[in-house]
Amino acid sequence: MPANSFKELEKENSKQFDEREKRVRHNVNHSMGFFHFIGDILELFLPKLVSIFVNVTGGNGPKQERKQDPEGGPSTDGDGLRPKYPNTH
Amino acid sequence: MTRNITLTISDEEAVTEYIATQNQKYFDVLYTRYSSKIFGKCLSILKDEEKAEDATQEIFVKILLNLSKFSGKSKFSTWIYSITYNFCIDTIRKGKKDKSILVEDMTNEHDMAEDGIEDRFLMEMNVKRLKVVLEKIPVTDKAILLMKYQDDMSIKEISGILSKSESAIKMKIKRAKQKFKRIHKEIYTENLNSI
Repeated sequence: MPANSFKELEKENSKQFDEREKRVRHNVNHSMGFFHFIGDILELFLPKLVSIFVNVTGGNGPKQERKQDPEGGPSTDGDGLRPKYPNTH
Repeated sequence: MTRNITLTISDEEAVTEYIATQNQKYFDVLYTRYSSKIFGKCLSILKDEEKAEDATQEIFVKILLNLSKFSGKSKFSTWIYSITYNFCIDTIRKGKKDKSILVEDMTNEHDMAEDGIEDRFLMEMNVKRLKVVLEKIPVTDKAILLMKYQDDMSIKEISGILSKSESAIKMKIKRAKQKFKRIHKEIYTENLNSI
């Protein structure tokens, strides 16, 4: 007589999974691959879509900060490297 | 390589590594350890191999998508079994439009009349009979009995999974055992004393 029939039942049920094991694993991997693909697409294009939506609805989009030269020189664009007025330096 | 990892790494380590690296081998470790057990539980509750296979697949996808939510407060096995039981209970309830809840409520009064049942009665039963009786009892009672006797979960763990108080769970276990014994008696009346 088994010590715990519930455990025996679990073993019995688990045995029936052997033939299905590979198929389920493949399907799970396939589903996860699909979700990752969708995630990658969203990660890549969502910022662009938001930007387009903002522009279409009349927004100005992200503002670029202008930096003032502490020594009183001309202000530069957001990247801070390129002078706003070339040929003045 | 994967075989070595399977033997040495704990569930929690495999989860942490999978989240950090998304490496397939860590998923394989968890899948190898739990897929057949999850299938077994789904089969016990859903009573259909095809449905159990589909459920196992969906449960694993759910587990992987929610892996980052595993906080480590409970054992990993308890966490995935909670997803499994709740998924199966929801599936049954959706299919039957909550008939199981009605059956459960209707049988409560009758059950209250009976008294405590020894665990030995359930645990030493013939597996075939156990299977037959489990198929006849409501899904929540079946899930509770499986959690207690198959997964050795504590009252606290079961109460966490089913979102009920510990005293409510104790009462539910008692009622589930009483229902089990009554149904067993109905089916195997003449052989009851021989178990």
